[in-house]
Amino acid sequence: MSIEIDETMQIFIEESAEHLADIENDFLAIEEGGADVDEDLINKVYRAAHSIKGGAGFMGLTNIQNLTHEMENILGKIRNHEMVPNGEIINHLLKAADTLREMISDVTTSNDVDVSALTADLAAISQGTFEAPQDADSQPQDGASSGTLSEAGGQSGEPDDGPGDALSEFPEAREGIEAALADGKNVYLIKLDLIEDVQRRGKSLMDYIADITATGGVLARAMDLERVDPLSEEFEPANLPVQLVFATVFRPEDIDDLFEIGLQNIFQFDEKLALHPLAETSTTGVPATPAETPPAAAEGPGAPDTPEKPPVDLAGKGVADTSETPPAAAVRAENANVHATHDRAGQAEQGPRKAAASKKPAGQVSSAVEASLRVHVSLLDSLMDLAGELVLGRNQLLQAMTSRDSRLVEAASQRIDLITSELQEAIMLTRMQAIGNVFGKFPRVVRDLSRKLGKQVELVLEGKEVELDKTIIESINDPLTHLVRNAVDHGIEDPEQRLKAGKNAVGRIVLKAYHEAGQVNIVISDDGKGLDGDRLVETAVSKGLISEEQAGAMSEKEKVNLIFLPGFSTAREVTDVSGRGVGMDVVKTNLDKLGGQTEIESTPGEGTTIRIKLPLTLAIIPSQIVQAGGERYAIPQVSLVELLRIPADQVKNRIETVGDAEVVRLRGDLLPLVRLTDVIGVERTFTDPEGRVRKPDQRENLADRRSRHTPLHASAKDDDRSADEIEAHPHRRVNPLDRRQRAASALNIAVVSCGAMKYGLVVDRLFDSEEIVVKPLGRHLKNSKGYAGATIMGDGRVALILDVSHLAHMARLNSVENSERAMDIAESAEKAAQLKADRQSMLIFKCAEDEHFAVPINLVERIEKVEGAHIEQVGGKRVMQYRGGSLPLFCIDEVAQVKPLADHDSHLVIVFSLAGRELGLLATGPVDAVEMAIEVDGETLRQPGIMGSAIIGGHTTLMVDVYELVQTLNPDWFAESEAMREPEGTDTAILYAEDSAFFRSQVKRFIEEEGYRVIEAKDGVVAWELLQEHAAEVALVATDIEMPNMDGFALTEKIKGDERFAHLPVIALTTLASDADQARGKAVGIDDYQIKLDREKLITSIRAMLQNA
Amino acid sequence: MEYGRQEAQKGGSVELATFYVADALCGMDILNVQEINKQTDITTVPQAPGYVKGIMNLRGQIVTIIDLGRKLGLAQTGFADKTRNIIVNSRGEYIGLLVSEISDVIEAQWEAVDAPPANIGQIQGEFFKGVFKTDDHLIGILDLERVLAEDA
Repeated sequence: MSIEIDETMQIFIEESAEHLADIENDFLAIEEGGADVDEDLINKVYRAAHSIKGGAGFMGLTNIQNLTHEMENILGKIRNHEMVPNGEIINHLLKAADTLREMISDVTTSNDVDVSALTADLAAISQGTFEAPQDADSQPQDGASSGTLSEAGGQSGEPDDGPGDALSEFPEAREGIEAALADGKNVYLIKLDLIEDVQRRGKSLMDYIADITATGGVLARAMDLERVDPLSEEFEPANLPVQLVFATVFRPEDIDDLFEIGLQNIFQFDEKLALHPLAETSTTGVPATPAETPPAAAEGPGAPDTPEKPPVDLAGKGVADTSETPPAAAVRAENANVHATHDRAGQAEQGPRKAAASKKPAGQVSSAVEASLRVHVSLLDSLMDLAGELVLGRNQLLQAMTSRDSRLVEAASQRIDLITSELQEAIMLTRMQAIGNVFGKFPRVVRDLSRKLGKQVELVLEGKEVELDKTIIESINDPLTHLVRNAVDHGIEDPEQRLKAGKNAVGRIVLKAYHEAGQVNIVISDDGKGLDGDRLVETAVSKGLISEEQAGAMSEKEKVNLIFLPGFSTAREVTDVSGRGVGMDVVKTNLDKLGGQTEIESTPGEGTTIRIKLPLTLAIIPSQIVQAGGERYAIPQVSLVELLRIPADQVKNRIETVGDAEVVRLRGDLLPLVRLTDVIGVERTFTDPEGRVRKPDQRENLADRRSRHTPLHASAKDDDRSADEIEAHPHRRVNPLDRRQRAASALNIAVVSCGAMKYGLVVDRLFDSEEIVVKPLGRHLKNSKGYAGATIMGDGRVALILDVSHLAHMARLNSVENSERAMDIAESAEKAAQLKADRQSMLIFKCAEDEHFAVPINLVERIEKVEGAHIEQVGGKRVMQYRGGSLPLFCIDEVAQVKPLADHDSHLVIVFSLAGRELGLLATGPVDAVEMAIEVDGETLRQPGIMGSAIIGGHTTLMVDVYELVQTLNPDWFAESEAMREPEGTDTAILYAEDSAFFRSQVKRFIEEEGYRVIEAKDGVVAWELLQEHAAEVALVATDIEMPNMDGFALTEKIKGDERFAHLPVIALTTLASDADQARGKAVGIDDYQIKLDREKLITSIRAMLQNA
Repeated sequence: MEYGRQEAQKGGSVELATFYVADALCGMDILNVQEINKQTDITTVPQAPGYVKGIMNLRGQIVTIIDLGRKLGLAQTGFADKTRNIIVNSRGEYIGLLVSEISDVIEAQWEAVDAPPANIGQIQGEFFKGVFKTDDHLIGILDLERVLAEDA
């Protein structure tokens, strides 16, 4: 017998699936509870099994019925404390639930599934401790008992025609009927049509059954499936007659209130088990069907003696449909779908309650995950209200428009604005689902997996109520499952290992969801062995994913993040548990697609934490609106890192060219630049700041500030800096037609990130950030990559939404490296190397409590502590006795405008040695020495005695210029020293090229203290010019390596290549000289390498060089 | 073409909405036409196939506008006074066809529809279901699905 998926079946499937959704975790909870049985929980599961069994019985799904029956038996025993749930029992129950789920997802073949082994096992379990099988029978109202009977009834399956023979259909029911009658109950034979009487009226089959079983017991039931059995697959039965033997306390007068099928379909058993039609005995005889029921439905099941007639006819006609069936049935059959739909529409208007109950589109098979959605009635109500409001608003607006009253229009539009926002929110809410739906399956996953692996794992779920958009909920299922499985498989150790490590044998995995900053955070943390960063690096290097140099420069966090590299798997061997090395990168990619961000943190030995940030919804997204080539585009906020506007006068300096790629220096990082117009292939434009008109932009490089066709071009080529000069002389004529970009135009860059890569998207204009509604693009644009969709702007025009990761592909940003992540690592390696190059050791101290100061540590001789009482005021100066002499003391506030020294009993004295003398700087603690990359701002806070400021440890720290301090206080010291130490005379000058003002002033001071004159240059180009200018004086060149425009290597090459200067010694000053650099330096002719702030060695080297020369 | 023949055999008539694509007079079953408008506020889509003029907002729906001239292998249709978008619904999606000029609605008998020649004007015959001759015109009846196929 084949089984048709009609509407009834559909409802059964959906409801059963819902029951099964929770059953798993309930089983697990029952297992945990052990002998301490939670009655409510058991009852809940019991009811679920029972409902499914009941429904399956109706539907003729014997396999499902048998299985649930056995489950029910076991649960009944647990409930009655006849059996203690243990792992074995729960295992079987879980297995049964799985099988059930499979069968229900494909009911048509469910009867072909072999469940005999499972049912036998279950039966054996229940038999094993079974004591009193008659227990159940003695309670006719008990679900178990009716279940047993109904099963028998369902299996008997050969129902006869007339009601008179009812008992021959239900031979097994005889006992139950007698018992019920003896109990003083009324027993009826009910003839129902599941289609007409239940479903057409918008009732849920399960609810219907629940109603019935709440008021009595179904002793037996039979369905005439044989006769309904259709020949065609398209056929939808109009009738599904069922007979029930029903025992209840309801009296004949009231019984139809329950069933609402009309008394003609109800028969009562008397003591002799003979049947009497109620229609005759009843005095009222009023058909109890509600007025709204269509007449066809009221007559639906027809007279009691002909319920099978229409089906027989239908069966005979087969495909050719229903023309010869009785009129009522024909109408019904033809209009089956239409009818049902109308019904529903009507109900929706009457009230959302009914609409919610019958939400399912007709005849749709729920093979897909979720084609329908359950919405709370109150939410639907509020939606209806809002829709009503909207209509009112529209009327108001129309009226206002007719009357041309602008005030009214304004009021109406405000109202519509408000309603629209509310409506949008309410509709979004209908899409929101609790993340518990996803979390719910993990206890089972963890339990099964840990059993299999012999581990003990406890799973803690938090924030199950957190809601997310339906589409996101559906898509995070797989990634999360993978992560949880990973945590069990790789994270948590074996119990023995855990005990050895001093941990609890039971591992703990916490799965937590919470809202934060308009996003949903999901955290998966375990207390397992954590990730071994070094081993990850080893693997990545051995697989060729990264180079050793890159690996060397990686931070611990980056090492851990290697796990997201494509082609990376930590599993030493492939297991069926953790997959085949397609793991984490796929997880990350999938989460990225959802606009999520994934972070991983791990402490070896203590565990791993993975944080996922997800947007609440994908349908409405905050976006940055930009303009390029005359059109507006939206960049989703999730992929936007920051906006960057480079003022016109800095464009030339900050935009650099590496190969043929343009980059911008952003906080020491090189950011590749991509011009949006180029990537998508539209004309570049720029907005003329004077005329406010857009003009085509013809620059070849972003840094180009004017046309190459101007007469000035030739000279510009010779000397880069002349461009600046030209702009300083605007009176020189420049052909306006040739102009590529006004020099006054700033550069707008949207810094975006896709996965691990960041790049700058150069756009013509930046607009506001807006919330946009994502709309799909038509099928002709499917191949136009680079867009994530389109949206409609406030003015009604359409703007495209950019897909920044595709744009990166299109711009071939990552074609060089084999993966984005690898590129990112390379980038950060570069960054790390750079940082090292500028590292500097500083001594941090305070003067007043809340001002931070720093001096280069290599200037400091010692730090002493002095009691306030030991500071003497002598001759207007403060001194302290120190090593048998007087140490002059001074404070920063004597020179610089800073807060005075804090009033403490004791102070710190930082001892410097300058110009051959020692002196002490009074300070307060705590002092700290840090080695860090500092960027000294030499302007903002510059004042006498303070060379600038830097951010150190989160504080703005003033860099003390000790030299200047002392010079201000004791100018005579240096006059002496200069006179004293000037062996070579003033003609000897040293050319020093250095781009960092901080180092320049420091190093200059060292050298000058030694009596040499220093000619400063801020880069190689300037140095080269100065060298030509001062050719006679310069006796030695000191140069930094990393400099803009011309670096140290190039400068040296130039010097050594020019016969005028080839004899000059060149000292390269760096903070870090790698072997490769040294080799290159030697090749171009660098004579010596020195560390920038190693004063002694530098001076020694200079002396030696000058003497040799 | 065969489709046209089948319909011809079936008999009956069809009301054709006719319009000019460049100089060629074309027609399509008026039942395919959702609306005709003259909206020129079109957002161009860089990287799109050449025949896609752009996208447009039609009461909240994003509609792809196809330059019928380009699609049929003729010159690009520029926006002018008489250019119109014919909005059609194809496979659940609204698509606009940009045509040079709208002409009359003509009733055509399927019996009178001939199979299209290899080309009509300079348009490939494959785009047509057939041709219908009126007293002074030759109307190429467009095969909408063929015209709206996604090939480049």
